[in-house]
Amino acid sequence: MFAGLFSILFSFLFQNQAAHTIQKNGIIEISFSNFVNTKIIAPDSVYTNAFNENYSIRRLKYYITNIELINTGNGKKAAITDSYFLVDDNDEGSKTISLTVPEGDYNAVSFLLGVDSLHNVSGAQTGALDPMNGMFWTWNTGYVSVKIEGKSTASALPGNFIEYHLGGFKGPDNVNHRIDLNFPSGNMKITGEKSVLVSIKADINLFFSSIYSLPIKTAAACTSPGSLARQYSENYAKIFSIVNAVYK
Amino acid sequence: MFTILSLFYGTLTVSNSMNSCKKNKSTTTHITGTLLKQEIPAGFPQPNYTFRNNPLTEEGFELGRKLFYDGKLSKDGNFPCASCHQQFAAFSTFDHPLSHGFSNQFSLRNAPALFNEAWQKEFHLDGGINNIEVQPLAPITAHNEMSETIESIVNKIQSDTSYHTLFKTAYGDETVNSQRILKALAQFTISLVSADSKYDKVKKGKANFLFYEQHGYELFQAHCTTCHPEPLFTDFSYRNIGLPPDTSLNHMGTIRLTNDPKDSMKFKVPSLRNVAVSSPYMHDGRFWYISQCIRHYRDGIQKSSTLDSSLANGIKLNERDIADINSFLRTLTDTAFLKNPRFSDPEQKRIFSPDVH
Repeated sequence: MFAGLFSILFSFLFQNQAAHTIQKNGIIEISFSNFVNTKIIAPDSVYTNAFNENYSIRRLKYYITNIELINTGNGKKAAITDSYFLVDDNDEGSKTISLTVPEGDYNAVSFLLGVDSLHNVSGAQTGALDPMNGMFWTWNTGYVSVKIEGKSTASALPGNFIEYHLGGFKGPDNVNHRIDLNFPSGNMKITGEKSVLVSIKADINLFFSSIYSLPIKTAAACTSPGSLARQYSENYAKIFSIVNAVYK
Repeated sequence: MFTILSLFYGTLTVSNSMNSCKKNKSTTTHITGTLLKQEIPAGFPQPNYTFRNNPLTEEGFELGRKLFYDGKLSKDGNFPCASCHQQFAAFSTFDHPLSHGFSNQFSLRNAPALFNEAWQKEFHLDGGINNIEVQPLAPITAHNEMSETIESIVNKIQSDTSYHTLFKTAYGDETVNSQRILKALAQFTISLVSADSKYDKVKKGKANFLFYEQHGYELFQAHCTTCHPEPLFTDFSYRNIGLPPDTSLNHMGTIRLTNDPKDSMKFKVPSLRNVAVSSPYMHDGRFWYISQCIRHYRDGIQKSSTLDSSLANGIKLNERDIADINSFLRTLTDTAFLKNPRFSDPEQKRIFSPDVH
C-alpha cells in the first residue's frame, strides 16, 4: 500500500521534473538607445523639435514592463513574469535588459511603456518599482511612466526648464500603452546556445509631435495626470522603432 | 497526498519565476518573525487591508512602531510621524488646526486621527493615496512636513545600529530598503484598532447609555448615519458639507486630484470614533468644539452646486438635541486605545498625556 503510494508520488514528481527539464530557455537582450532624430542624446547637446524650438535633456527615464515575446505566425506568446525595468538615459547598465525566455521562434517583442494599474495600487514595491527611483508621486499615488527634464529657450518657466512627468493609470487618464514591435529580420530562433539581441531606438522629437502638436511654448511642463498627459502619452507611444534583431 | 504534490509543485513554480526576474527584484519578503492575527472587532466588516502581501508579525509591528516614533524620518530630526499623530489625541495633532512641519511651516490640512485604517479605501482627506503602505511617502517628502528624501531615510536607518536586530528579526537579514520600512510602518498603523469605547460596551450589553446619551444616539441615527454609519462611523465617501472655502489655504478638496468641478470642496468623511479627543475639527481644523460642528449642519451650510444633497435643507436640531448628540459622541472615546502602552513610543517609559475627558 505504502509502496504503491510512494511510487505514485515519485512518478508524479518525475513527470513534473520531466516537464520542467524539457522546457529549455534561452536569452534575449533588448537594448534601448535614445536619440533626437539621428543624434544620440548627450547631456550637453541641444536639439531642435518640429516647431523649431531648441531644447536640451538632462534627465530621461521610462518604465518598460510586462514584456512579451511573440510569434505572430503561430500566435505563441511568452510573457515574462515580473518584468519591470526602468530605463535611465544616465545609467548605461539600465539600457540593456536581459531576459530568460523559453526556447522558440519569435518575430516580435511587446511591452508596456509605463506601470500597469495593478502595481499602481499594490502598496510598497521594490527593485525597479522602488519609489526611491524618483518615478513615484507621493501625494497622488501612482508611478510616473515617462520623465523628461531639460531646458529650452521656448520655455517661460523659471530657469527655462522643461519638465514632463507623465503618469496616470485610471480610466481616461491612463498613459500606459502597449508597444508592439516586429523584428525586421522576421523569425528569430532563440535557443540555449543562441541568444538574440534586439536594438530599439527611441526618437524623443516624436514626443512633441507624433500625433498631437505640443510645442514647448504652449506646454513646458506637464506634471500631473489628465488630458494633456494623455496626449503626450499618445505621442510617446510612437517614439520606438526596432533597428535590428541579431544573433549574438 | 494531493496536498503534498501541490506543495512540491508550488515550490517548483516559485523558483522558476524567481529565475526569470532576477534582475529587477530583490528578495524582501523573507518573513521570519512571530505571526500575529489581524484584529477584526466583532461586528466590523471585512477589512480592506488584510496583510496578504505583508504578513503581520510581532517583530514587523515593533519595527514599524519604532519607525513611527523616530525623528530620523524627517530632515532635521524633529518631525517623526508621531509629531502630528499623537496617541493621546487618537493619533491626530492635539490642539492644532494645522500641524507644524520643517522650518516653521504648516501642513495644508488638519492631521487626521489614525485608527481602524484597515477599513479605509483611500488615505488623506482628498483620497490621494490608494494604499496605506505608500502613505508615509507623502509626509516624508513634503517640503512643509518632514521634508526628507526616501534615499536619505534609507541611509539613516541603515547606519543606525539600533535597527539591525529589528530588521533581522522581522525580515531575516539586516537589509534596509524603502519597501521594508513602508511595510513595517503599515504593520503598526493597521494595528491601531479602536473598538472599545463606551458605545461598544453598550452594544455588547456591558454598559448602558445615560438618558441624554441615549437620546443623542437616537438623534444621531436619525440624522447622521447616512455619512457616519456604524460601526466605523464613516462611509468613506467624499462630500461637500457646505463649509465656505478658506481663501488663505485655497484647498478645494478632491478636485485637486481629479480636476473635475463636480469634486469641488469634497473631502473625505472622517470617522467619529474618538472625536472628543481629536479637536480641532473639519479638514482645516476650523472648529474647536463638537457643538460648533453640529451647529454647522443646522445653520452654517453654504449652498453651492457641489453641496451634498442630503444637506440641502440643513439638519433641524434644537439646542437640547445638539447637547445630547454631543454627549453621545463622547461615548465614542476609547480610553484603552488612547492609553494602550503597545502603541506608545517604545523609547519612553510612560505615555505623556494631558488629562483627557
